[in-house]
Amino acid sequence: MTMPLTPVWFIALPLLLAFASPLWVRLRLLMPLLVGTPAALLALALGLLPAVRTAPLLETIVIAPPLGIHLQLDSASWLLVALINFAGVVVGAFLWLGETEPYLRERRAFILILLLIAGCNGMVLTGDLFNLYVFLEIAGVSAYALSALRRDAPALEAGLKYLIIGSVAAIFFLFAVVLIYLQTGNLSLAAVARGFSEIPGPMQMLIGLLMLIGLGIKTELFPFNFWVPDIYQGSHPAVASLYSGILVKAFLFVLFHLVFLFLADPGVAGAWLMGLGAITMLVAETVALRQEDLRRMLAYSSLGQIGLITLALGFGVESTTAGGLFHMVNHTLVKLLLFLTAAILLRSFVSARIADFAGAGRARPLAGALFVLGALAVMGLPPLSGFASKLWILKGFAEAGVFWPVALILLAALIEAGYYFRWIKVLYEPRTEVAIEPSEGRWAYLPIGVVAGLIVLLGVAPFLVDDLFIEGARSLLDRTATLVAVLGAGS
Amino acid sequence: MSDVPLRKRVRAKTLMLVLLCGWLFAAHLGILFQYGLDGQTASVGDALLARNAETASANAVTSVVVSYRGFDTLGEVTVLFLAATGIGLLFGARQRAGAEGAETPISDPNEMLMTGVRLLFPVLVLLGVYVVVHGHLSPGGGFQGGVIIATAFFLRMLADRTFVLNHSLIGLLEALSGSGFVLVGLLGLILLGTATFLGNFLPHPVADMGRLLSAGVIPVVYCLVGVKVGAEVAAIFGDMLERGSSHPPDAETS
Repeated sequence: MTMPLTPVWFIALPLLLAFASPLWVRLRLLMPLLVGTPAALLALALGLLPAVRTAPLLETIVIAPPLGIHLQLDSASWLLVALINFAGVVVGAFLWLGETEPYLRERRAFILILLLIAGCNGMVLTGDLFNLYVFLEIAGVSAYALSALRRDAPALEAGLKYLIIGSVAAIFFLFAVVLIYLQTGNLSLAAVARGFSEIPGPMQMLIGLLMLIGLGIKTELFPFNFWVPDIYQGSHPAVASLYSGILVKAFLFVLFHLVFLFLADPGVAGAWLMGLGAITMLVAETVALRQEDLRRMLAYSSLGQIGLITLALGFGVESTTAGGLFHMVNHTLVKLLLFLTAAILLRSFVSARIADFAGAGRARPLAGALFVLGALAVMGLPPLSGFASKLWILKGFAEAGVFWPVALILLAALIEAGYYFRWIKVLYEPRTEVAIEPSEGRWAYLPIGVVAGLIVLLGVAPFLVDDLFIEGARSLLDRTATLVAVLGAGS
Repeated sequence: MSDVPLRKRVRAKTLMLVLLCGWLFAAHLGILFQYGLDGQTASVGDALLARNAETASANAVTSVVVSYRGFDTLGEVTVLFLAATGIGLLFGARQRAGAEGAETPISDPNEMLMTGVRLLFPVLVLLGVYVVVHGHLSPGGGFQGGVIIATAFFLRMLADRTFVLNHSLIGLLEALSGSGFVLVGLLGLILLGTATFLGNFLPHPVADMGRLLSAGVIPVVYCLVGVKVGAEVAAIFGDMLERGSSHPPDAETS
């Protein structure tokens, strides 16, 4: 008997603890476990890092890859797994320490958050197409229920919208999986990748289109993202931070993982994705200018950043991909910071409308300062991490001699500065008659402070983590290495 | 009818959307008929069928569902669990909001239903248990059997107004069977003989194929799945039927 610390724990542990939740209610362990589970998984991820950096970890489940399911922890998926579990710790700690609304601290929320983490971990780790669909459903269904958790009209509307649009996306994806299985007879990602070029051209197009619609809805790319702000507005900001921080990042990773793995020459698909990313970024940033609701503004800003990441990853060059992965991490940190700060501000100020926020920064100095820090990091101002990753992406494009994305990214940053400064200005407007109850839940600032510290640290010293992202980009882009690792040499 | 002007009756945007979807669907079908009809020559399914004897399960579908792709089954069970949780959440909300609203009085079930269910209930439960337990031998298994058992309880709820599901018991069954599934999987991982998640760590000699006690861990997993599916589907039925009645949905929350 041994205790092998393999990647399957990233999925099995949250599943086990979520299933056994009535026990934790009885033992009063619900909140400690909500923080403890992702923390344990984060520790496991850190412990596995040296091994992952030497060679990708492959774990067979029951039967070896071309026939069965396997999990793959390589440098790229490691980044995502660490990020997902870190965000889980932060949000869990915020819910525990912050004296948040009771509906976020009961058993159902515990189950849904843990299963969301399990689903995202599974999506990122799995090496099997149908298994990917299963985890996509787990992450999706827990997200639908999470947005309806508050059970008032806006929350139920958000949940219903999310349920319908998410199910439509899942059906498109499932149909693509069916067609791939019909054509290649395989479900293992590596085996499908080997046989994908033999599929007739129009069929490849159809599969690609179905995948693009399915995953495009899930990753909130331009023509498919009309529903996003409603969901973010209807959900609790802490839940919205999970969507923006974890869920979309996992789907983005899946999208690009499939593109780079299936297509021997991802040029055309990459160009399409770059185009979609650029449109997403510009449209979202422009619409964000006019938003009067804090949560909607953050939702559009999140869409804009996702467009930027798509633009960078779609280019498919090592430096922009590494920069894109770095920006993914940064954006998760920043949106955790902004949404959780928004949760604190919303608790003290009844509505999220811009007019009601006048002077909020003076009444809640710490929350105001954190919001400003997050806003500056999104814009990409120098000592913060957003600057480091945007610079990396821009340098990557400039080195490749392609300048239109550089111009668009700078333009988007300019628009971003426009609306974030508008909110900052309102936040610090002099207004005396702000009536607020005495501040409670000071501990809620602890997880937010940790995130803020990381944003500054990564901005000042990006060289600490450079290698991780370069290795991640290499393993994401290197198709043959993955094929050889899974199927053996000679494939 | 004629009061409404034509441009309001025919919405151009909707019409264009319908036409676009129709065109996409036609293009889709065109590609499917041209390239999708000749199935692949060799698939994973054939390879797995050839190796079926390894699991000693007489039903080859079961050996794929529970053993080779057992990880997917664990995921599917989780999705069902999430769905049950979500339905509990939503119907609990309806109940609170509409507590004072006039609930349509439901008439008592008629004699035919009551007598029929009295006869059917034990038979259905027995059939469900049979289907679950023989999942590795004959068509059926945990999902199918679990739903049959849940249906039995659903009929009981319809026929007998005084019959109320014990939600804490159902929650306990759900928790035990769900964590049991994961624990069986983890046992496969930590035992040296199998060393893979969901590995078949119980002895499963091929000679026993076709007997009730065969195929090692497969029937165990299928029984757990059966209990879990039965409990979840029954809970879904219960949540939908009992809205408006007096069961407290959050009694067990902290």
